[in-house]
Amino acid sequence: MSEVLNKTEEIVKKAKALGADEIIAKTTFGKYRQVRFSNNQVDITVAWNDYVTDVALAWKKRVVATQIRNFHNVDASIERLLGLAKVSKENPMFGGFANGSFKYAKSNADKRLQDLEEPTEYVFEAIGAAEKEVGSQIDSGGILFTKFEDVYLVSSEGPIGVDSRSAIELSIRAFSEREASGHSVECSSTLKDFKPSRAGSKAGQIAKLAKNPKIGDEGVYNVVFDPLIFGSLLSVWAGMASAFSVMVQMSVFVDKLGQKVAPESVTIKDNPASYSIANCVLDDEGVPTKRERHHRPWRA
Amino acid sequence: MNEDIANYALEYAKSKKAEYAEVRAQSQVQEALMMRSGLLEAYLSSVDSGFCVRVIANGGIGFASTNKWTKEEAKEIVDLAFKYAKAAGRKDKIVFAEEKGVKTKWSVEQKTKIEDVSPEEKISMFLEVDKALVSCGVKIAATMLRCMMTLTSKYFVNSEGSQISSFVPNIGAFMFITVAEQGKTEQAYEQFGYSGGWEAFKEWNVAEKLIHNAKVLSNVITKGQAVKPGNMDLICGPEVTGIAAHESCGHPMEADRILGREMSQAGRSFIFKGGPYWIGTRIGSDVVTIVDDSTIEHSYGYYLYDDEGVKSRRRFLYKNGIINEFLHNRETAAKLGMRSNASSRSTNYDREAIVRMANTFVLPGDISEEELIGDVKHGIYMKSFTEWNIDDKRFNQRYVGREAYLIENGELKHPIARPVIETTTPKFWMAVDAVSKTVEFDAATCGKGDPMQGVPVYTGGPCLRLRGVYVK
Repeated sequence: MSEVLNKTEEIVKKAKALGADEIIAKTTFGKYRQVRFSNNQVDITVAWNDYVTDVALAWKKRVVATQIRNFHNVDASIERLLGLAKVSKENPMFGGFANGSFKYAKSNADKRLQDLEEPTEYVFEAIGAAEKEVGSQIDSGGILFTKFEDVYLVSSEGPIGVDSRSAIELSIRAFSEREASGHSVECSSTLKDFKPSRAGSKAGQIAKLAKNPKIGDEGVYNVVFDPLIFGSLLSVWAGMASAFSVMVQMSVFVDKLGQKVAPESVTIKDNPASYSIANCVLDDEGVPTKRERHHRPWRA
Repeated sequence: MNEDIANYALEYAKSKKAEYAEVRAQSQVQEALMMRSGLLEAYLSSVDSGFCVRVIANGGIGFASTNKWTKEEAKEIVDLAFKYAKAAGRKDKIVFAEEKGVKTKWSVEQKTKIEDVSPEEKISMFLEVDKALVSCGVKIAATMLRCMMTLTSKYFVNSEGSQISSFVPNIGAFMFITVAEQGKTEQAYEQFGYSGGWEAFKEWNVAEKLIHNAKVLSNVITKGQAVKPGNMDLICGPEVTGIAAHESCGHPMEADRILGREMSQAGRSFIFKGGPYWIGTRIGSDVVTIVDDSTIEHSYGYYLYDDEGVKSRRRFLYKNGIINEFLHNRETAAKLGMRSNASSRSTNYDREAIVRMANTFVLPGDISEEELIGDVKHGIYMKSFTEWNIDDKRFNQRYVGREAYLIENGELKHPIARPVIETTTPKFWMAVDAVSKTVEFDAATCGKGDPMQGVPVYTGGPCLRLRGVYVK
């Protein structure tokens, strides 16, 4: 067991010894890099490292949480948190943290993304590909983002596990003229599958197609969505599919469980697969992630 | 927060012959509570502190941050920032507009310190609000309430001799209610915000405002009628005035959008060099003056020095209907040959400071709301909004009313359900023929940046009267 996992477990043991009913501690060492660019040039390159332990604690159905960033004072933080739980209010709906002993899949995080210190070359590759499509008048901008996280989770209810999560994302918008632009993204959990020129080319191609736009006629049309646009819509619906959003009625899925909400051809999956940028082998309660969850075909 | 480490990082950056270097250290003590339909879901408490280094080297900018307070880590992030700045390989080198170094301390006073009010008391006050709301006689299907209290200490030093310490306590609350009657639902949210102490809670009159919203929603469901589409006069209440000022004046006047730096994220602006709109161009009628002012004491967007150490002031964005002054940080100001007007803000030490609004509002006129309405033969009073949309250039936009009434011969009649205006920025502001004399503010969280940086702001203004706009 690693030293970090041991320290995370110590937090759980300490809270239990102080009288907490249930506790989850999750330590994340995060390394994030970002390049922002516009007018075909790099505006800023940003690096941020974050070392944090997220703690959620329950005492007599009172749920409290904290983030610990000062590791010299962990005991005091836990004592304060438990004290807060004791003056908090009971949430009768609280059903406890997930319990059980689980085996997790092996993380496929790409260590090359942990070591990547000069990501600007990928930006120039994307700009170059867009320029090939549009020509020298191109004006492009966007963001390149990389992350590498080591996650260590211990729950008093049994789950204990480690995970590594990696991702690289590029978003590029290319203009062929003031009112003609194309936008594309490229993302991957590994460096070898990341092709920035693919996004650059597509953004450039759309920018070329978008030249000399005319105002269309209002009316009824068939619409074909690019995956990027449909993905944006999906992210809104997926947020509304969270149980909390439904309970507070900030969702179109209120009272829709089991009902038809789309044609039978539509199946929406939420999948933290290893190839996705949201890859993870365990969730924040230590439950192993599944390939498919929440939507059966066409029914909410 | 360790000022010695921050100073050490700056000295180390200076020793590397940076063209410019700054260190911004920040500590945030936060408490947050979330309630759902009268139940406390969770209470959060955390302390976060760290620092960032930003340097200009070889005309490029590098930024690195950490929450590890050691000299080794400080050296590491300075080296990283340098490496990144040099790797930019820019053709046109970045410089900052000139500023003199400032040594100062500033803070916001709390009459009742947030940290002196116990969590039990805070919880109980919000439970009382929920209780009052559910017993107001309207069928409330769900409520969601979030409150966040933050004590932010900052320490800023740069290679030009600035050394600025600040302390800002801040309290914000967000409530969302759903009313369900006659098989229909309507929803409303209300946001409150204040720089200062817990005294804000009493001043907000939270329960009163939420009950008012609940009754409005009930009225819309039971008595609201559709508007007969057509050209008519429109009175915008301060909430609608505020969102229009923020979205169709504040955002397009951000110089980073104008210069294209946000082209792939927040978007561009309909204002650009060589285009039809620039400084000096008419964009509204001469009664329209919109300012962004970070110096309003205890406002949600209050600050005395921005995150580049520039002293804040009121900024006249549209002045008597004319485009007057963009929102600038030091980088955008240099590019346009101007001075920064202290619009550089960041949410935390691990985020780059970018061009932001503070409190954006329309300045008042000299007539009363009654006079404004009294001079409308046929029109709509859109007191608040339930929805708005605007394009990325901030030109085409749409506002949908929540509380709205028909006006006939200068008198308010029945509620109107969801009236819609679709317009453009110049059409909207050119149609304004009068503004009332009382300004009201609403708290809001302005979103921009990638990763997203939600900054506290006020939006607001008086009532506006627009002549002959199309409402449907």
